[in-house]
Amino acid sequence: MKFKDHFKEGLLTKNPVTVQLLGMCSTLAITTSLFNGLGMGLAVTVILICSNVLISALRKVIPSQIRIAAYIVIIAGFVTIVDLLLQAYLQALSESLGVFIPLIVVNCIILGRAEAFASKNGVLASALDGLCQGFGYTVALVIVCVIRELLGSGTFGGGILNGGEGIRIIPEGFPAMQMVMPVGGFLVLGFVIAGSQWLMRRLERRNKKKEAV
Amino acid sequence: MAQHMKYYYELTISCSPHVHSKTTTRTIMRDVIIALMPALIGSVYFFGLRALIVTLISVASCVFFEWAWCRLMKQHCKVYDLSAVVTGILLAFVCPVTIPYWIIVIGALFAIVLVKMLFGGIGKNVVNPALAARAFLFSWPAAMSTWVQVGWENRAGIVSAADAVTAATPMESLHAGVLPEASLLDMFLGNVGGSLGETSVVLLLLGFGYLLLRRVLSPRIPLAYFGTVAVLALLFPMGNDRLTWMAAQLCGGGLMLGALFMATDYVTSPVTKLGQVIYGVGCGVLTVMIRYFGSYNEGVSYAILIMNLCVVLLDRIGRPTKFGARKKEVAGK
Amino acid sequence: MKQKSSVLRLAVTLLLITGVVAAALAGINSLTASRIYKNKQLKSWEAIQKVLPEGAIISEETEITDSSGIAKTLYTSTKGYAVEVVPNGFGGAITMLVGISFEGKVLGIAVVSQTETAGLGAVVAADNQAGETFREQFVGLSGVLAVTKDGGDIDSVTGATISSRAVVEGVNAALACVADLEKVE
Repeated sequence: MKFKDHFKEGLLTKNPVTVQLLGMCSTLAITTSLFNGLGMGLAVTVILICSNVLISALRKVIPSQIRIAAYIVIIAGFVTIVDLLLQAYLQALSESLGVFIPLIVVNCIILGRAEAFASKNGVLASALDGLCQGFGYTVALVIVCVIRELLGSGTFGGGILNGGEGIRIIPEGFPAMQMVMPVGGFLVLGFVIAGSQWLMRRLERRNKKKEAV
Repeated sequence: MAQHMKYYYELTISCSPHVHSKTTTRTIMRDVIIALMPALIGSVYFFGLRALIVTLISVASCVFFEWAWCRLMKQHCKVYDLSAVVTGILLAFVCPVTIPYWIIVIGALFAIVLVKMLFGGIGKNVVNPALAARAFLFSWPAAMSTWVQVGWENRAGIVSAADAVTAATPMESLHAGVLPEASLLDMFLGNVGGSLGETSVVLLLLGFGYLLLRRVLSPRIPLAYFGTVAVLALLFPMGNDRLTWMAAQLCGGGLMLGALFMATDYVTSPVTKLGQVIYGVGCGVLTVMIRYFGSYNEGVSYAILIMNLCVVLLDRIGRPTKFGARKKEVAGK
Repeated sequence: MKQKSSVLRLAVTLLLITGVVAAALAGINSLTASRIYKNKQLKSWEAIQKVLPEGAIISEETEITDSSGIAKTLYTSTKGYAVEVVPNGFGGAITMLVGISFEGKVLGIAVVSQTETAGLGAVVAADNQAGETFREQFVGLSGVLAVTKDGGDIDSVTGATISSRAVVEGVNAALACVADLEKVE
């Protein structure tokens, strides 16, 4: 597979969040500010690439009977490393994501890609897969974050821009608080999934037209 | 196959019995609107003209959003069935009279587009649109829990409701475990603080009586609902006089409005008789649980919303057996 | 990968992987541990500074247990005590520090971490006007406090009685803890 195909799969047609519906837990829970979304997305991407590479490299060594146990140990190792590094050098992010960093261990995206891709493909392809899937996850997360943050807190770029407060777009008192509550997570995720389906269908139709021409 | 599909669209296909009646969605909704009128007039008397304006804005936005959605999605527009009007009135009824107008418009948008139309329009919504919108409107908790003193002289301003005199509602006392200061008669008449259309027990009962006479609704769900709340209040009076406590629990808050006009919604309540009774009892138990142990004062709206979600299961209970089929066989399969 | 592996091979492979991962973790941990510890110290130090008068020097740090289990750590300084209390709010534990003078009066309170509802309960910790007004109510008080709804003098944050109650509960635990201390001495 070419990079372009990988990229398209990760971003849209096999997006881990909107199509595979993996890693819903963090997607619903932490997507309340741009900072959270980017941070979580990057953390998952880094762990995904590392675990994909290592698992792919060891794919011929690990016997199939114990592969799940071995994958989990490897993934948990990387997650703990990232967790410790965040605590040491990016304390703000580590505090705002809280328990969801250690919970990346059980994020299905990582085990899912290990089982579905890295255990069957070469190191380079696995790294590429990790990068593209991680990118797709980050993009989906950021979209949900931006919408929820705008409607729920009335700001853009919370945690990063304007000294951490974000740029205020909707004046205080007007944003719908429920949008940064779990309800908002489910609502916005639903709309984002619907949007990605609509986009895919449009692209498909355009491709068919091209073929017909 | 294509042939079949053609006929499918041309002919009306429905299950037996093929009974003819002049009853349509429109006539039912018209009756419900008529039944809600006494409470609306009462709310204007108790809270001032703003109550009417809030209701009108709510109705207008509901109708507009339904019409706009159908136009946008190129669907057949069913706005003439008046169901959006009923949703609009009920939405206004469960909000405080001081609610800013823009919030009620957002409530209407949520009720019609997210709760009703996205699920397929009338008859296909899973939960009651007005109640779901109320739950969402707690995005602005301060606006949703400002209660004004009743009485024409204290009425909320039409342009700005900010200077209205606020007062405690009976539900706040009940939640704290004490009897409200307002007399039972005041609670029965509606002369107490609360949401726009929920306060007057007598006017709501009057409207429901009309619906019973017109045979639009059966009293099964409300009776099960009231009965459960009454029994639980009698059993656990929290150290108050049992009968007075029970009466206050029945007349207070949104129980009347919820049990009579929202829990009975055709679409979101069970069709089987047994299912309806269980549904009513479930609403009652949840209401009392939330009132006693919850952090909100009132639990009617959440109780009904939760039971709405159970309707799909309750509809399996008490299903009549097919003619000719033995009960055992049905159960076996 | 398809061939049947012996139990021994399975065990050894898994042991090796686990061992390598454990070694890597141990390495990273030894690299970051001191920094993480310093970060945490700094954070609580900043909060302690907020609740004690300027120039207070902490002389002692003791882990404590009280009957309610809310008070956790007692910092004794030259100008008063700071007590770390962890009451339960609406959305989980609220970690906060209460500064108390030697006379047993509240000097100030600061919330270190909380998971209350944004815009409602979170106001108790917010750096805005409403949050400061709420927290300043406590300054100078002593004894057993309560929110107005429970018959006390503390005005709770609008729409967040439970979070406000939790903060009051924390302050009470801190006051009780210092009162006990004075009694013993």
